[in-house]
Amino acid sequence: MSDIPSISDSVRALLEGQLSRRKFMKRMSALGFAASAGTVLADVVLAQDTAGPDNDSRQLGNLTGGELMAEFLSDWDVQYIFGLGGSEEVGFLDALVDKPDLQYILAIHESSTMAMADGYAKSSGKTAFINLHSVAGASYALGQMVNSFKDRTPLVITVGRQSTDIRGSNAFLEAVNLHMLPGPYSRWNWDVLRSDSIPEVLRRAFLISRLPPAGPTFLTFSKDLWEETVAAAEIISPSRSIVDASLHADEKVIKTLADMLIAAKFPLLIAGRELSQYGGAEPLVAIAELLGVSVMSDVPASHSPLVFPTTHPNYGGHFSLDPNLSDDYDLFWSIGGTMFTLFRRPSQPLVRSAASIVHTSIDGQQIGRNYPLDLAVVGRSDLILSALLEELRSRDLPSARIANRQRVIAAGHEARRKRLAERASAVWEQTPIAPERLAVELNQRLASDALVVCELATSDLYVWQYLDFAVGTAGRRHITSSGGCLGWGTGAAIGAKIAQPGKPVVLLVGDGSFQFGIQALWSAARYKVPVAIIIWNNNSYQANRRALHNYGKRAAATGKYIGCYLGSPDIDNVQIARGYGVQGERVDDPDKLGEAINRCLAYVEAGQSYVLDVSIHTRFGGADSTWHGGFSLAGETTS
Amino acid sequence: MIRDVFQQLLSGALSRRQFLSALMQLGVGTLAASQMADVIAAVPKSEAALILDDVTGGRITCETLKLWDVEYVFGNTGAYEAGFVDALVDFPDIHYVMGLHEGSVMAMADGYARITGKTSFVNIHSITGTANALGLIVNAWADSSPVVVSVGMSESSGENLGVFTETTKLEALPELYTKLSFRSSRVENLGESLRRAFRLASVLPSGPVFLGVPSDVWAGKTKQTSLIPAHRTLSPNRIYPDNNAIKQAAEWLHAAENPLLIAGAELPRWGGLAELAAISDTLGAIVSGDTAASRSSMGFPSDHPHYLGAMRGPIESETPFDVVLLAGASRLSLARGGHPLIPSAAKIIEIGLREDHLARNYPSDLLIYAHPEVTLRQLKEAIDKQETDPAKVRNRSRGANALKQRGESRREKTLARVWNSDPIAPERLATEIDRAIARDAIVVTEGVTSDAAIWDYVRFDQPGGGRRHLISSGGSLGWGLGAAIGTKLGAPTKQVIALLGDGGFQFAVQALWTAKRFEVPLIVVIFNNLGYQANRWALAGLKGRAAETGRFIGISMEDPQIDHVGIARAYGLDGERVTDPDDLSAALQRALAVEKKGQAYVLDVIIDRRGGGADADWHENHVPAFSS
Repeated sequence: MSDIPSISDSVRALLEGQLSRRKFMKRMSALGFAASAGTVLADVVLAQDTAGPDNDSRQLGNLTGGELMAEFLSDWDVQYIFGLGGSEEVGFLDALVDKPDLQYILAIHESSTMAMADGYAKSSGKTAFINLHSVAGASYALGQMVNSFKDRTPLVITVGRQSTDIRGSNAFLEAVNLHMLPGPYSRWNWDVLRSDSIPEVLRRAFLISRLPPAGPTFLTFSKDLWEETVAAAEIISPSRSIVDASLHADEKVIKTLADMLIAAKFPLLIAGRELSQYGGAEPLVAIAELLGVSVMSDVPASHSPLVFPTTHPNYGGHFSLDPNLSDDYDLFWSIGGTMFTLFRRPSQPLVRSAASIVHTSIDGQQIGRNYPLDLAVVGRSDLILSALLEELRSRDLPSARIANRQRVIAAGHEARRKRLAERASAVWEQTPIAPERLAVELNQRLASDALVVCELATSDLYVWQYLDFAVGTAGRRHITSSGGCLGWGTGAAIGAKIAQPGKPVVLLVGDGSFQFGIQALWSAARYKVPVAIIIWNNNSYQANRRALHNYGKRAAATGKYIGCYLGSPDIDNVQIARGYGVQGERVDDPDKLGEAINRCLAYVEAGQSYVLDVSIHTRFGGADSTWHGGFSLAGETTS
Repeated sequence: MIRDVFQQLLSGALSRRQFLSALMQLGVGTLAASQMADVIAAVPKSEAALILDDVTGGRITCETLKLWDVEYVFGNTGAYEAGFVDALVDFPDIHYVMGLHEGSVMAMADGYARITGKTSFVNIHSITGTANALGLIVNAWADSSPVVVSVGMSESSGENLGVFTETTKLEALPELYTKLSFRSSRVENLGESLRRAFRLASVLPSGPVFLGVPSDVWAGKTKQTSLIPAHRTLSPNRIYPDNNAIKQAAEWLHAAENPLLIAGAELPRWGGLAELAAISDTLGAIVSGDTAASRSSMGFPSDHPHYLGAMRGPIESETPFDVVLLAGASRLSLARGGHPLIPSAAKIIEIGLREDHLARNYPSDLLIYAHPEVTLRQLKEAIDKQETDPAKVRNRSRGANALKQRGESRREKTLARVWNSDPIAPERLATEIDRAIARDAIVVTEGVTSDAAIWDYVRFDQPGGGRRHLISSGGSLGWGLGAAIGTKLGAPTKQVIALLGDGGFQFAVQALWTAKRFEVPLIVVIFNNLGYQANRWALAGLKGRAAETGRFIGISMEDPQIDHVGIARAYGLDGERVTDPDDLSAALQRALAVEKKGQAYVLDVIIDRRGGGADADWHENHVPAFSS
């Protein structure tokens, strides 16, 4: 840490122009700030720098709508355009020719475009900008838009459509109400009506995409609006577009929360997904230590990133996975978590009704679902936690009770880790490779500041159990998607690397998920984005087989799990990667796994992506079945 | 003998599928054969309804599929569909065709529905599957493909709890692109919901129907349900035209100095090509295909002396057209505005079933909302009743043929000029394909900028069991490969060949796995121009900075070049890249041989790039690399 300049030095350098905004953000990140916090600070600092209305907006004229849009993106500090254009977007694409600082990142499938943008936004804290083509592109993008919406990722999606002079005449690719296509999966949609309103509409889209709870905004543009000449338009600068959406909690509420925590015999805290986006892990660690409370991750089905340091003695694993630890709690607090994203209606409430229940979240839509609440607060996790920490430090705390509780919690943590370690050694020599071993071997080798992007279905469990994640943005970070639309991982990992070129990025992906998004590999090769891709290959849609198995009827009785086996033909994932210009290898032998991971990481370190296709032991119901229905048309004679 | 084939079907010696194959080999069109089978099948079935006791929603679905003669479930499922998939275990005659991406799953169902005329059945998972499938639902909608898209949703008892993949109004998402989008909330009603879905999908104008089914509806049981069979649901009803309208149309066409007939997308779909050809013969009238931008299937006999092919612009004719018959071409979709394709002074007669497209963009002096085949047959009969002036007809016919010959000789000259071009000319590739494939092959195309060469140099002749053409007008790429697989499943005795652009191929490359898994013999030809040439073309047409500098952003698929054949091998298939024009013919023969043996084969043919900006090799990059 000592070699990183302090905040004040960095701010000074930013003000004096010695430090670019991007470099400033990197430093902030190295100092442990959430990317969004860094952005806000940079915005504020730069806003002071450019005081005076004369500098704040730009009057432009005699340029095309496409050029106007490009100018806007430059002013608003957009570096990357994640795109797959077609003929409607040419007026914008053409304007990019003279804007080399706006880097275009092409993907060969819109699902990859969207996933890259999502990974980029999550890892940079910035709003990602996307340009797609008509109903064809928008509909392919929808699945990943669902994912981004669920994770509240700030995206601005722009889509070209037919020229206004032909709209309504059933032109090729015409779509009625195209701007409404994402339905409930965008924060704001708009069909741009005039070329001179482009900057104002974009500004609104950028603002709304970030305003908590953030999410994608979706704009459609008629082709001619990008091509026609705009006589006069104004671009309002970001410095005059700052919305303070900090959402602090009321002081009284913080005091009440402190009272409740101090009075409780055994509080249980859930470190929810919002800590990944808005920060707050550092004060949460301090609070946990101060009070001797257990912190758990949100329920598995929420697919939340792990945001609390997993090796910390107060960490208790996933809520509902480890009920022993949480049986006796009398206060339950979900900090920016879901309550709850489950797979189905639980047979009984997950939270004991005897406990006091607190839910704090930035997302007013999600508060007050399904459970009674004794305290409900709309607010930003980092602000609430910092304020609470300050409040607690001013209080007299019941030290004996806390010390006692801390012993119990730490012992529970140790016991859990020991149990997991024993489990891993028991299956260590297994062939096919035990997923526990894969997780452990990765844990030993991945850098302590790696960004770990995960898209696993049944293998998620092993990542949660065996991979260590640290606090905040400086340490090893876990990036996930909660929408459930597979095909996200590869693109997201590439986007994460583009956002954080200084950090190693590792993708952990299931073989089924990988196949939904293979096209993204091409973009990794084209733009030389080095990402380590580890496929957890059980040759199956094992989540589906498990579901059929648990259904407990004919498939379970006969071993005929329809639509689950991905063998016959076995897919050669490494060969596919080569087809897109990415190298890799297959790993079957458990004893060669370690070296293979080393080779993969070294290759990535040298600047190229690499695919490690690891054959793992299939787990859970029906795991032994390789049955697959089939028929063949090969015997049919052709006339 | 056709009579024997019918007897064998009635005696149960032939399955429906075998019956269809036998009829097709006797030269009966697929749709006609399928309709005959429907009629025959309807006779012996007198059951009022199928009564099922103590039955799960999954079994209800399977029994419904049987009643509707469904052979294939096109699927990519998840946990919510377990109740249905589990029930399928005991229905081995209903094959589950699995795809690795919902886009290809939908495309397969689309291809299958088009070639068989039957309603196909798709099973996918929740919002995730729906969203991934949406682009191809758009395509199925655009071309009126009857597909029932069934989608598993989270348990209804978990409604509004915010469970994983919960969606508010899932059925609202595909609404604009379906005939009906609804959900079935109780197992008691599932049978009737499915029946409604099949009925609406099937009734002309057909189209996709979306049905959401919560997991507990599939897993749940009901004490009794009654399933009404297909033959008590659908009648072979075709909307007949009004007699007066037919009379009027016949009079106008008869009185016309120079009538123009346009063969639109509805004809290859619902019939009427032979009737239109007969009308053209009687009148000596020019026949044009629909516009290039409409991406309509070709099917009018390419060799017909009056047929000019796809419409590329206003047709040059010495005498102005005074009556235009738009036969199933109600869309007449254009890429850009500009010159009217049909002179507005002409009287316009329009026949079609897609009410959402009728009377768009052009005046309609006589609009006949009716089945195109029936209408054209009646129109033909009405025209035949009129007395024609043989000299006038001969004269027009000569004129039409002269126009056709001018086009032909232009094409021949082009072909001769580019024959030895290296990279291979798309015109040569199309010609060599035309020569190599079967006369009754089914050609599935997604060629984008190469489509024109395919239309010009591959001959089609759909009526009477000739060579068929399938294309998608919806514009979502990634359709062709899946559609070709579905087509082969629907017409297993026909040779099926997919002609795809490299961009389009990559949108759905995962479908290759399905082709291998189920050993679907196909010939896949990639017209590879190493980029999104349609986009480069559009940028060049803008005549802006990209055209000036040669910097076409987001176009090139080089650096790295994609090894399509290597990817095909990764899915267990074989193929080869072709760069030498002189090797093309032999390569096609190799592909045909593999197809004959029962496997798919990928020919990745590097072609000469055409259109604006074709010479540009610049592509955007990122320097420095994103390294640690």
